[in-house]
Amino acid sequence: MRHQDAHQDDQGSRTAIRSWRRKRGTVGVLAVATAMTLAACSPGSTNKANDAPSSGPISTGIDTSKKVTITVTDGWGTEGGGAVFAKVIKNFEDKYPNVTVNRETTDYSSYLQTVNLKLNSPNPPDVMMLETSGYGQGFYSAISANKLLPLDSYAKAYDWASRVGSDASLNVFRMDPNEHYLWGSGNLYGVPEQNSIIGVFYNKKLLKQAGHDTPPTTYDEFVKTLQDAKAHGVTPIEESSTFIHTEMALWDSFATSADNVNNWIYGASGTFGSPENMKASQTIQDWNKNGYFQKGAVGTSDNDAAAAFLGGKAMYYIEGSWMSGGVEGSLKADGGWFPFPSTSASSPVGGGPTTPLVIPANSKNKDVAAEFLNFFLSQEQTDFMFQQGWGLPGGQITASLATAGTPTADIVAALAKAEGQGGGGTTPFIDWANPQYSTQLAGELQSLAAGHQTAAAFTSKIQGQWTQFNNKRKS
Amino acid sequence: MGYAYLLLPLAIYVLVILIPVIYAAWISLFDWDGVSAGKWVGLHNYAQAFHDPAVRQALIHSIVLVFFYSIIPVAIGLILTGIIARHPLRAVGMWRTILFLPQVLSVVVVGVSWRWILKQDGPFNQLLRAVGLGRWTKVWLGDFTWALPTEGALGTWMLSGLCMVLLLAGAQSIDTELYDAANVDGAGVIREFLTVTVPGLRNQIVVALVLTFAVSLNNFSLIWVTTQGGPGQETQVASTLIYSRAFIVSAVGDASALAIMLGVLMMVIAYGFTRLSERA
Repeated sequence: MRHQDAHQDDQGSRTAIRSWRRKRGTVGVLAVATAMTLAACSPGSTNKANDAPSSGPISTGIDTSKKVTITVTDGWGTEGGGAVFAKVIKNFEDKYPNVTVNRETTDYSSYLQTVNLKLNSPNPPDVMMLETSGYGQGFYSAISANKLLPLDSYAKAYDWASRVGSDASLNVFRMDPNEHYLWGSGNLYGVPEQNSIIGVFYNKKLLKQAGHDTPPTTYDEFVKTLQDAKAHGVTPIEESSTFIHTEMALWDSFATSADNVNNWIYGASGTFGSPENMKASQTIQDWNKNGYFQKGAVGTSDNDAAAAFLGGKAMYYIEGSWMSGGVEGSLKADGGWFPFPSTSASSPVGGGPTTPLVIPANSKNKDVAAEFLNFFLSQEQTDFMFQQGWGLPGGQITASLATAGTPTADIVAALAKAEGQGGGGTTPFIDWANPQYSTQLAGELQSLAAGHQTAAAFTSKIQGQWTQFNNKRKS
Repeated sequence: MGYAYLLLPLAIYVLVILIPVIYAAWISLFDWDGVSAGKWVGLHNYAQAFHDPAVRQALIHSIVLVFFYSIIPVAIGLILTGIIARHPLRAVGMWRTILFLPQVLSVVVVGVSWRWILKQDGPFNQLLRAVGLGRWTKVWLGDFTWALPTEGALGTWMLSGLCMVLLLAGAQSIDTELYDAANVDGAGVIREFLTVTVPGLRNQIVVALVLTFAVSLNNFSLIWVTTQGGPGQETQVASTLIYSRAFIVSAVGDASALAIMLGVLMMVIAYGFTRLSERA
């Protein structure tokens, strides 16, 4: 079908160019040559549907007799986490002297611009970082174009489920080619770089100023602390203008099961306008109106908001666990963390395994790449990364490593509870539910918070985009 | 024979400008996410752009910015030129340098600095509070009503110096006898400005307008660094929309169609201005 169309176009453009050529001689010839070269290829190379990649027969462990070079690309740069990743790579090379790892890294946003080009290359990297899972940038489009290798055989052979807690913890990196690439089930395409939970960082001194010695444990107590803080002239919550993590925290808190939220995020069923999320959206608007967020929250960048909280200007900061290092470093003993209070025992928490590491389907060294992923998830490297300041790695750390009483220790405990038996489970980031949300969701939440649209209008707009995308996915 | 000398520049031009433009035009005919095989949709992306409220909104914002980036800076430049050209100030070189400085600074530096100056507890709001206008304080770049005019004001600040330098250079080539003649005829300062300075600068005005129009329609970095199109979509302009569709949403065909349309629009405007200057 596509070829036919391209052919018709070829005819059309040639006719147009012919009449043009009469006027412009040489340049025309050049343009024709260019147009014809272009006509031969529509953008995006095609791995046809029946070439769906499979890992085929796999082998674990590394043939140490052969010299081999693998390419690993990421957007972590050379500082902070990027420096830790470099050490992990060094450890891998030390363990397997015959393997050379060629690491290509740039800053995060430059990296994201090159992801599609790398995936389309006939010589892709062997291990790649993607920004999101689900329908966000990269993951879905790469899988539906058959550019990623299913990792199920490796996961089974290496027993990765045991390293991330449970097999269900990997669902966030699964997509089902037989169900129009429905997210959350089917083949496994990635392993987590990090584990995360959205919760509340707090300033102990300011909480005391607001008249509370201990952090709230119920939702009503939480709201009470906001009121009291405001009454005592303390900024209750420092909010970044994206509002996304607060929206997630509220929705999860009002939801009574992870499935209610996840079915929607995964694109299976449900609605963004559910009573729970309607209440969450209304709460965002109310809190802004009541002055529970700092003045001008709608226009405060992530960096400025984080800096203000770390500088002791607000009582709470609702954010992913990756901020724990910053809080421990800046607020020291005044910094604390508690889970966002749920309204029911079965409420889920936002976060879970995030940022997948994947193996492109055209990798020439799949077994070595999979060995690298396994090494990355191993207990030894996971603990090493944690101690080096990576944050919470994708694999589970030895729990005793976290210093008791620090935000990190509380985070590790809360995550273990949520992801363990009888816990409420986790829900992935809502902006992964649609390729458009990374640009749309924050803007719409800002409009909502500023009172420029009602919660009903907000949820119905986002739901409309959800329906449009999922219909397109299924067509 | 002489054309042989053009071969290398022409080859570079074709390679780095012409081919990418043609390729973008080609991609604009596809529904393409940047990874999987593109689906041929003909002119659908273009047709859709005309019905897309987001595109319309971005264009309206661009038109507002034209006023701030183009009309006001040229007007300011003209007035400053009118003053400086006839009544030389002391240390004119210093003033010229100061006014031109925003042009020399990296846009990213400029954007980050202004975001800091204009934030809730930034120097600008502190100043307002100090003079008793505390209730006017806001995050200027994050306010639904004020973000776009604030972006505009930054553009005015950046481009006024450029316009002035352009126009000042032109003013030096105006025959001083014309001013003497106007004076003899009894022209005052304003009359002199309107009948001698402005007509004498017609070509420079056109150049300044073309340049600043291009910046206002093409402005990406300043907006991206300061607001990324927010709050809501209040400062979304054509170029930021194109960028987010191409690189964040991965609607590459759609983004290419918008880019081609923006390019054509800018060429039409530049052509219109050139005709205007030729007629002079």
